[in-house]
Amino acid sequence: MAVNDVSFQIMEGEILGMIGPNGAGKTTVFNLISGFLKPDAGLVRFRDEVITGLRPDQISHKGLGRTFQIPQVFAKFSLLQNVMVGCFARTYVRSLAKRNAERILKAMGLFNKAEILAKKINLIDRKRLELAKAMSIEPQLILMDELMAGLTPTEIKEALVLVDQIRSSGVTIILIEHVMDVVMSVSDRVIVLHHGSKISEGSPEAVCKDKVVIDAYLGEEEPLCWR
Amino acid sequence: MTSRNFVIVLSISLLSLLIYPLLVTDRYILHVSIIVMLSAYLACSWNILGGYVGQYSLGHAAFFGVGAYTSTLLFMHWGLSPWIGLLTGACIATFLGLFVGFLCFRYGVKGPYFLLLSLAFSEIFYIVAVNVEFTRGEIGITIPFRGGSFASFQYAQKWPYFYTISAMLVVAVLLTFFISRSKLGYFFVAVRESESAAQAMGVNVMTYKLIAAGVSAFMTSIGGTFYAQYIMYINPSSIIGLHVSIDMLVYSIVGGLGTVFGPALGAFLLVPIAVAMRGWLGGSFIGVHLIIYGAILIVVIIFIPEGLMGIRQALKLGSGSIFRRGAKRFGHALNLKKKFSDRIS
Repeated sequence: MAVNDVSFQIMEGEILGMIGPNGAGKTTVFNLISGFLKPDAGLVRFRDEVITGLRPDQISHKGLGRTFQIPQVFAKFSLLQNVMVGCFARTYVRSLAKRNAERILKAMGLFNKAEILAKKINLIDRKRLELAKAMSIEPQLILMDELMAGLTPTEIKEALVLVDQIRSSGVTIILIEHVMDVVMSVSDRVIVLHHGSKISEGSPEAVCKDKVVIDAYLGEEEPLCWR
Repeated sequence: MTSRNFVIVLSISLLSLLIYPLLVTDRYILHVSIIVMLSAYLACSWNILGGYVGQYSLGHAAFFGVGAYTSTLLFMHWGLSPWIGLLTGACIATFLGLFVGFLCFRYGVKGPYFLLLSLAFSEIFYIVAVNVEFTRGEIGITIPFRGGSFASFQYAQKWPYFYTISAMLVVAVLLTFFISRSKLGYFFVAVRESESAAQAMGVNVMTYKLIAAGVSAFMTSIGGTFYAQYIMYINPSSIIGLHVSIDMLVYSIVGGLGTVFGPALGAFLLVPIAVAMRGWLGGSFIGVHLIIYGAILIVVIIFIPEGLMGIRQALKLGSGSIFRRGAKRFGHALNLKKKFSDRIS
């Protein structure tokens, strides 16, 4: 069972970190929330509405966006066109979609690369583009799946600035991360998954000191918070 | 392609098409030109589903055949104008395209499996057409000439057919251009590039695949009616044979999948080659043009996978780069790297 009896809630405006060893079920939880997988039991509620069983595009229209662990860019489109896809979900008017996409690219620091094909950009720009695409649907909640994976420390700092910008714009964030510095620095609360179950929940400091969490990570790369 | 460039290219093309029959009076050359234009039109139709949405179909011959048979049978048995038959056939083809599309896309059939299912669908039509009495099987149907007029969609001269198919091609290209710049076109390409990402951005993947299937079937069917009214003879082999679907696919790949002018360019290059081969070799070596098609297809896929529309971009990289990248793709295809590693280890 990939995910077993995992229950949590997130408050508007919060950043909730989700951590756990590899194979804990974190991305599966994201897929269940965003409609890519259907749960065998249980409910997903978003803003007092049950969204369990809805298609991913329907959930997206309700204001729930996501990024993917491996960036899913539209390779033969330019960066501008990539973002325009999401903007078109809100309007039929091309000029309006283009204007909105340009605004989002500016916010993500990609405006000067707007006409470059997505298949030609480097990893950090792909991550920025993932965020830009998620923001294009005007979400109230974003699921960020390992945004920092593969980035250098300098690039992580740049990405954290973007996360902060997104939070300041009023978007609630759930983020999956293995980089503990990131989780500790941005999360209001953290939940820990292990073997598909939730084993801990609380502030980053409290979770770091939880013996159950420490035991779960034994044998995995030791998280920074208790070195 | 920018709007400005598109308008320039289209204007030059329109002018050329208008004066072409005035300059070319040889009936055979005009006939070949009509066939080239029809092939270009069919490739544009296929491109909506195959190029923009990435659902490669080998079943479009069925839609072509539905258009041809519907207008012909309505004309022959009930005396209905082929223009009414054209619309009727297009509606039937659209319904069939949506039906097959729904069965496939609802159950996640895509890639090579969609290719095979669409081929099976076309073959079913072929078998029915061969064996059912009212289509007269392989003997076929000869459409009687009932006086040249617009109403009967029959002309004594070739130039009205040329202008008709040119108008159809221009409409197909215009439609493709407007789709490519609209929300519909953006969603088509998003579905092709990454269904997951498209869904996460609010795109109902199945709806847009079905729209593409319906539009593509509608357009292809109209081409079938034109063919029937021009050639005035139809039989299953000529209109529902596998070669009909393959030709549309090959022209689009060679010209440039998912581009506005690419499929037409592919037809403009390849169809004259086929005609020249048939004329040069006569009755011997029938089908040799298919060998040439195959060779061109291999070269395009390896060295300029974006097709003729991607030549300018490829040339910017330099010929050395084109060959290096082509060799890499060829090596991947043959899995040479693995074979060499196995040998070394």
